Amino acid sequence: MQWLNLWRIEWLKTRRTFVLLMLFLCPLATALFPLAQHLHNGGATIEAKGWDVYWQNAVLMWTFLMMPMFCVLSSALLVQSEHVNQTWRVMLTLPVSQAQLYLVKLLMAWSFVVLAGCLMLLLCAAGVALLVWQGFPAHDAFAYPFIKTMGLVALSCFPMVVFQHAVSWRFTHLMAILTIGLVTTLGISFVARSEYWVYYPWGYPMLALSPADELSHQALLLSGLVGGLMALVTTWWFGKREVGV
Amino acid sequence: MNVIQTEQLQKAYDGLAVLQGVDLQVPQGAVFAFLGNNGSGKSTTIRILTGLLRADAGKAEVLGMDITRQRLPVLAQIGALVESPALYPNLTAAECLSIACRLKNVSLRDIDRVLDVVEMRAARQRRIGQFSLGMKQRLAIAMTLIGAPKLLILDEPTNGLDPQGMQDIRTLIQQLPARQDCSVFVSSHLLDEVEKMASHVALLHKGRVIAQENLLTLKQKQVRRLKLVCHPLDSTAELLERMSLRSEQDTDGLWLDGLSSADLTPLLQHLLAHDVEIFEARWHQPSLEDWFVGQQTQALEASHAMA
Repeated sequence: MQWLNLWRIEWLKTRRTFVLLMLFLCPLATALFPLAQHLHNGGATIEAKGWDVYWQNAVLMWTFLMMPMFCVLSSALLVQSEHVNQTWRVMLTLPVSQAQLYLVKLLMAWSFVVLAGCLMLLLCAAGVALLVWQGFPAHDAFAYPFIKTMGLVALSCFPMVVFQHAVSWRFTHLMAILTIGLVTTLGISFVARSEYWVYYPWGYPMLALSPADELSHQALLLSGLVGGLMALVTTWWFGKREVGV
Repeated sequence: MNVIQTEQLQKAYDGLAVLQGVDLQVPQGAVFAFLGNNGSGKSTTIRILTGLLRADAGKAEVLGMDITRQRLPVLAQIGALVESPALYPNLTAAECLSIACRLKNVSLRDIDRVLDVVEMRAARQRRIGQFSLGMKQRLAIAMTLIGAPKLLILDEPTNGLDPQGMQDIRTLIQQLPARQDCSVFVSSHLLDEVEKMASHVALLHKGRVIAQENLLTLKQKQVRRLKLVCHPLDSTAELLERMSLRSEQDTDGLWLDGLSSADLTPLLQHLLAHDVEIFEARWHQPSLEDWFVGQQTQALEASHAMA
């Protein structure tokens, strides 16, 4: 019951905040990218290669750049509101433990990333509908495996969310958090396609979407293991830290 | 029964001892003022009592429960305000109070009740970001009142308020034990404020409780003094000494201890008979501030003597 109450409270705290605006803006920016691209070339690519190329463009941009950046921003903003207003003191003088608060906020950050991913696909679908209405070929326009893609991205981004949440919890300075997030996001382009990708959780979403089943399964398994372990360790660590020293 | 009981609480930050054995007994139904200079360890004690910090040694019981082992059950039954009001500026007053309602499993109807107590019903739907410091402070106190807790722990609740705001908060705290059937543990360094609202006081000095008293008993114990503004001072002091009365001289007069009201008229007659010009004779009741300074001076002298 207390977990449910905490979950509702964390949602309440996001009212009238920038993080809700970002939840809409980041997917919108991603969905506009393939729309603009294919409007520009007049549908030639879609006619030649089919609609998959449209969807893959959007999903690639999301997993490669926008989702990691959104993950950094949403985690930072969700925790920053407590740092800036020192509202930890209010929350922790109420009957709730630090570990509970940490975990619920982590789940909030994760659900924001998942929600943003769903919204991105919905906005992409709206873009496709718009193009079909404009006279682009309708054949297989919505044949892309949305649910599978959403599921794979949602699971494989978990280690990234845990890491960024822990960073946001540990550091009070927003610039420090954003810098760490930016560096790790940029690292995806260097590490994700190399043989060392297993050591770099930021690349897991891209690899989870790989057409090679073995690689995809490996990325998913690693995401679960690494994310779960990181969540356990950081919950234990932040659960025992003293507040206000 | 004591609502707060601590034994030899100790806490150090990076090797620097902040609390060096704090013993406190806060009786039920009291408005207990916890006094001390800045840096004396008041906030650290309060953070230990609310479970935000763990003591290095010693024991702290709140409502008969060990705060370290039973932190959540304790927090469910108390209301605490630690330092300045920390609230969510994007939420309305009602939304903010609903956080405490949900976590304490209290009906949301309690929001209106506590807003009435702090006289903020009209601001129910206003955003906290638009509130003045005084309103935030009152809202923070309202938040501590959710669920009618048996004990309120308030850390410097009048900090940063204007005189009217201070008076409002003081009146509110004074009335709480009767209105809410609760005890109040309040830390402050504003002695004038404390004197007007507290029933008990404890004085923390360099991480130790050096005095703990019922304020009524304290006032009875304190000896009132007579201030005599007269001329000439030196010969009057000698005259008093011959009468076996010890006096202390200051810039414009003499201070006399150990006199009763009945002694006053014969004394003045005696002095007038010896050509002493008397301009003013006034009784002075020592204030809490006098007691505070006196206790601290004694503690300092004792520590110097030990050194």
